[in-house]
Amino acid sequence: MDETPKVSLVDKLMQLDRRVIYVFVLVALTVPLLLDFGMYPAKMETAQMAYDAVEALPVEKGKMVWIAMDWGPSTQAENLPQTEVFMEHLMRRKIPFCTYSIVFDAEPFMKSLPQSIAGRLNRENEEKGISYRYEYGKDWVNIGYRPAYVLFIRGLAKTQDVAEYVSVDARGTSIQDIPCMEGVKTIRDFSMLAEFTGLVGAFNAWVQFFQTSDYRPQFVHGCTSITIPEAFIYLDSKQIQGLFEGVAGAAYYSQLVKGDSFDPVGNPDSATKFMMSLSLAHLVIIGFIVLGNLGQWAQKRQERRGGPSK
Amino acid sequence: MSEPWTFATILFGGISTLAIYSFLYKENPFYRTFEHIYIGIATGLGLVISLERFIWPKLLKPILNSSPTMYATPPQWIADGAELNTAVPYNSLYLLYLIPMAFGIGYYTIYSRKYNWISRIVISFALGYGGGLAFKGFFAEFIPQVVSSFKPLYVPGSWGESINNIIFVLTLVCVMTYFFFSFEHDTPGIKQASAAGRWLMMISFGAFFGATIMARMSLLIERLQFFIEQWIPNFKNLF
Repeated sequence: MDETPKVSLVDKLMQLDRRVIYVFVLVALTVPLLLDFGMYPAKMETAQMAYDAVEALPVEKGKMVWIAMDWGPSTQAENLPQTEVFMEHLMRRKIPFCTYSIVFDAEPFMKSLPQSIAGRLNRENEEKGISYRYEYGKDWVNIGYRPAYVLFIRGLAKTQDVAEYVSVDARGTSIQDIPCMEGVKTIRDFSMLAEFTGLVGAFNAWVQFFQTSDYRPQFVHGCTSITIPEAFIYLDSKQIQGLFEGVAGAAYYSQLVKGDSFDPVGNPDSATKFMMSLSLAHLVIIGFIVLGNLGQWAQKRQERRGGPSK
Repeated sequence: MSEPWTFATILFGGISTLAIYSFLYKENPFYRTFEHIYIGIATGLGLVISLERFIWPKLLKPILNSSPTMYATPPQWIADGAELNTAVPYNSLYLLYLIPMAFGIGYYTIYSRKYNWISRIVISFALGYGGGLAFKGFFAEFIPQVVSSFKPLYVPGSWGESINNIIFVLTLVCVMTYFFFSFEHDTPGIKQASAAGRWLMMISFGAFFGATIMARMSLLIERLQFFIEQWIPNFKNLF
């Protein structure tokens, strides 16, 4: 009679197929999305700093914010919610902004994202009986993608006439014909630079070249989770005045912008729904890390006692 | 049902996502096919956008003066109040653009055995220009960080900040000691600092690893949201 060797629980654990872990993570990520359930985000001091920096910006003609949307579909999961809440904040404060990108696949987002926020805010205004309507050209302008980014950024920082330097927007309209660009002449007229990216090189280029010898605009950075530890170096040296730490930063910023109307449980936005899924997946991964370590420990213990080993 | 074009886009987006994620199960032809489609699309899109946004309006259009717009309008004319979209006499100075254009095209001689020496001139120019920019950029980026690393070890009235600063300075010294390879790390003090530097780096690598997991999960969540909110409802409409 064949006697199959007994496989201990520890051995089974150590031989667990990685695809089983994938399935667990997938389930943890999917369930909150299906239930359409969000959670209150944790307080993020870095997002608070970014919020405070925007709140301190002047609302005056001829001053605007330059938004570098240096991201595309590959990092939209994190950079899109960040950019969205940041733009919403600017629009609510009636601070005009330019969108520009050094990556070509940001083009569709630069066109659609401000438009969709404006549409949402316009509907909100209508419901409240407020006559103000957010419009392209008045509240924002899309410069679009431009190649040779280091040269472009250097030139933009040094030019004495932004309209001549940039020449046209993404629609081909002359910058001189765009109302919100009126009075914007030099880098000094950009009160803030907001840069959202997952590319370390893109962020570095702005840090290095978007300044003159005597002026550097306020700088807020939205990074993907991978680059968070690195971004803290710039925050510590005060080269940036605020930081969006991945989706978590966007979720907390969203809470700050929406104030009392923020309802992640009843009416969650994309950032808060993301956070719920992410938190659950983190718990699953932590669980597997603990299990894996316990398995390793138990296996070594078994080997020391002369039991079955691989 | 959505418009046919939107419908097809969403459908293809979902199939592409499934194909790419099928790699998690194992390497397969479905994944390979879509990987190549992605590379092709990315390259083609980059080329088209560069042509549309830069090479045509900024370089070829002024030279050819095919449709006089502000690209062909000399800046001093604009300053004098010239209408941007009215025809202006051809400005022969734009022909000077041919010089950098020819210089750039010289890069492609790399494919010719006979003329590839031309590409070396272009490459050496690019290296020199890149090196100069990197040099300037290095100072602009890192000098503020070096300055900010000089922190007071005792901040009156704030124990928290004092402890933070002490940890920061100790970490900085230990990690720098680890990377100091001019002598053996066997002297008492240096040995311990170097070992501590190694451990501290391990901790930071752990933080990087955790952050990487978070980023990858975020990407997956976005795709799942796409499936739940767009792909599945569209797919249902198919039947």
